[in-house]
Amino acid sequence: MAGVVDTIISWIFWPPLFQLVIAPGLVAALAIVIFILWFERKTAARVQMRVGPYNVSPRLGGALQLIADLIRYSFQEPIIPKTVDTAAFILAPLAMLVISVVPTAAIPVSPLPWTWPIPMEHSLLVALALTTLSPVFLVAAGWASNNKFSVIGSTREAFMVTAYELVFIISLLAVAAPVHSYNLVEIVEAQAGWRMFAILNPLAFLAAFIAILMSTSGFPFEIPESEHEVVAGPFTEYSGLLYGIDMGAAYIKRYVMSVLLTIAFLGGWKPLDPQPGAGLLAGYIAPLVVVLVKATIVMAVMSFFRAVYGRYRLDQAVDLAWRVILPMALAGYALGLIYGYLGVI
Amino acid sequence: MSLDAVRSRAEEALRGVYTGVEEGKGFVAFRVPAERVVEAAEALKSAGFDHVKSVTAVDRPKEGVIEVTYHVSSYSDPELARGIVGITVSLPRDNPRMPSLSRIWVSAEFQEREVFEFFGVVFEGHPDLRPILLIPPLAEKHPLRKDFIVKEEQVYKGGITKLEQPP
Amino acid sequence: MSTLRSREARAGPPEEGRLYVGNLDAAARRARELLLGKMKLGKLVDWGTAFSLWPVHFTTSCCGCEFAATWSPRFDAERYGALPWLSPRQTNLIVIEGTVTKKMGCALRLVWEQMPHPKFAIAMGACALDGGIFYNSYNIVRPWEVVPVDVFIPGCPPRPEALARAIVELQRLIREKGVASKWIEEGEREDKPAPIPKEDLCSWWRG
Ligand code: SF4
Repeated sequence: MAGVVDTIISWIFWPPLFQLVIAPGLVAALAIVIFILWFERKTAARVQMRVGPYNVSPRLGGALQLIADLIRYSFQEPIIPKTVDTAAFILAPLAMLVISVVPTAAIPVSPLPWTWPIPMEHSLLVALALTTLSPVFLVAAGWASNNKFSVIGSTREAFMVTAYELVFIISLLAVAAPVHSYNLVEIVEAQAGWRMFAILNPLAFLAAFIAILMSTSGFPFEIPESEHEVVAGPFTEYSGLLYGIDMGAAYIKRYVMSVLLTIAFLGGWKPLDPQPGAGLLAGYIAPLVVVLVKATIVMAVMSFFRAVYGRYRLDQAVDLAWRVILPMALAGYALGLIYGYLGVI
Repeated sequence: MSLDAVRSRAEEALRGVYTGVEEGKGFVAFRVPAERVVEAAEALKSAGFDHVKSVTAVDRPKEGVIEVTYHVSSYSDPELARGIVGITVSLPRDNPRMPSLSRIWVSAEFQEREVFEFFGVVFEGHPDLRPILLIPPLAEKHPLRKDFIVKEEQVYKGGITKLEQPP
Repeated sequence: MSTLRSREARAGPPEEGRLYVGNLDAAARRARELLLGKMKLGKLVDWGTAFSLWPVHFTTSCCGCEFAATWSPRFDAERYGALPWLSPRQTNLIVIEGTVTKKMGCALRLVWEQMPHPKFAIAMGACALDGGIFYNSYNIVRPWEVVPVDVFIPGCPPRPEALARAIVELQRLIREKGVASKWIEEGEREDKPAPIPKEDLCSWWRG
C-alpha cells in the first residue's frame, strides 16, 4: 500500500511535469495571478479612498471577485469576427499562455539535483531565451485581429520589446559575472545571508525590475494596452475566454519573470538551506513556497505602482529605456565584473 | 469707441454694396443683396476680417423670406477683433439659394452645411453639401423652419390617456 | 439595418483552403450542453455574471456626470464588481446615460451588437425613459426602441445611489430569474428580443 502511494507521489512530483504544470508553473501561476489581480484592484481602490470589490463575498473582502470575472468570461460568447485570420486569432493567445509558462522548466526551486527538470549548467541563459518568445505571439494576435487599434497596439509592443529586452538580459548577466557561472543554483547559493545581489548590485536589480514592468506592460509602462489611446491594444477584438487567456498570459509572464528575479537577485529559497539528504517536504516543497512568496511580494509591489503612477507616452518610455535604464544596466554589469575580478562573492 | 472703428472700417469696405445697417451691442449688421454677397465678402476679407464666427438663419414665413447672417470677425487685427460684423442676406422662402462663402472663409464650411440641413438653404459652389448633424431623412424636413410641427405639451383633461409603453 | 445581420456574420465555418480550426459553433454548442445541461452549472454562471457586470463607457448626455460619480470614491459602485471598461468586446452591460439622438442611436446599436452575450442594458434618466425635457424633439429616439432595456431609472438626473440600486436590481434579476444561464443555454434571449428600430438610423453611415 505504502509503495503505491509512494509511486503516485513520485509521479506527481516528477520534476519536469510538476515544475511546468503545478508549481511554479501553470496552477501556481494562475492562483497567484488571480490573487494579484484582486490585490491590484483593491489597492487602487484603497489609494483612491474607495472600498473596491466587496459585495461578491463580504466575509472574504471580495476575494472571490476574480473568480466571478473568470466565470463570466468563460461563459460569454466568444465573438470571432469575420474579418480576422481565424486560426491565428485563436492560436496566438493559447501559444502565448503556454510559452509564457515554459521558462519555469529552467528555473530551479531547490539546490537538490533530483528536483531539477533539466540540467542546470546554463539555466540562466535558457530561462532568459525562453522569456523572450512570447512577444512574438502578442504581435501575431494584434496582427490577426485586423483592427487598427490592435495593429497600433502590437506595433507599440514591438517597440517596447526592443527597448526592454536588452536591458533585462544585461542586468541578469550582471549576476552571472561575479559567480563565474550561468548556473542558477550556484547563483542562489552565492547569496547567503544578507549578501543578496539586490543589495550588492542595486543598479542591475532596479534595471531588471523596470524591464519586467516594461515587458508586461505594467504601470507606468502600460503603453500597448493604454485604454485611452488604443482601446485595448492587441486584445481589442478578443472576447470571452480568449480575452481571459490573453490577460492571464500577460500576467503569467510577469509572474515568471518575477520568479526569475527572485532567484537571481533576492536569494531564491535562501533563508532555507536544504541538505542533500532532505525529503520531499524539506527538500522541495518548503524552498518552493519561499520562492513563490518572494515572487508574490515582488508582484504586489508592481501592482501597487498601478495605483500611484500615471502612464508614460511611448516615446518617453523608449527614450527612458535607451538613455537611462540601458546605461544603468551596463553600470550594473560593470559592477558585477568588478565583484567578479575582486572575488567578493 | 472700439465698435466705431470696426464699423467705419467695414462701412468703407462695403461702400456701395450694402442697402441697410442694423446695430446691436458690440455688433453691426449690413444688409446685402444676394447677388452681390460674394463681392461684399471679398471686400470684407481684404479689409482684414479673416474668419466667420457663425452662420445662422432666421425663418420669417409672414414676409416669405429666410435671412441668412454671417458673423465675421478678425484674429489677425486686434482692433477689428473688438466687434462683430454681420452680413445679412434675404432669400425667397420657396427657393432659397445663394452662393457659398466657404471659398472665401473656410471656417464657414460646416456651418453652411448646418444651415442647409436645418433651413434648406442651398449654397451654390459649396464643396461638400451634405447633412452634418441630422440623419438624411430628417434633414429633408428642415426642422428649424417655422412650419415644422412638433408635438405640443398638453393640458390634462381628466381620465386615463393611453401612452406608448416601453416593452 | 446592416448591423442586424452581424450575428450570422460572426462565426461561420472557416472557408476552403484555410487552416481548419474546427467547427467552432458546434463545439460551443456541445460544451454548452455538457456544462449547463449535464453538470448544472447554471447557478454558478448566474452568480458570476451578476457580480461581474462591466459597463462599457458610452456617454451620450449629461447623465454621464452621475455615472462618473457612481464609480468615484463617495459612491464606489466597484463594490458590486462593476468595472467601467473601454472596449465593448469585453463588457456585458451598457448604461444608456440620458438623451440618445438619432445618430447616437446608430452608435448605440453598433456598440450593443459588438458586445458578447449575455449582455444587459440600463436606461438612465428621464430622457432615456420617454424623452424627458426633449420629449417633443425631432432628433431623439427612445433607447428602448433600439436595444432591449432591463432596468429603467427615473430622475433628471438620477442620483448615483439610484444607479447603484439599478445595478443591484439587475443582479437580483439575473440571479432570481437565471437570465444569464438561460441565455447561454438557448443562444438568444427569449423574453426580451432585440427590437428592430422603426427608422433607418444608420443611413448616414453609408454616406
Ligand atoms: S435625464 Fe436630465 S440629466 Fe439625464 S440626460 Fe436627460 S436632461 Fe440630462
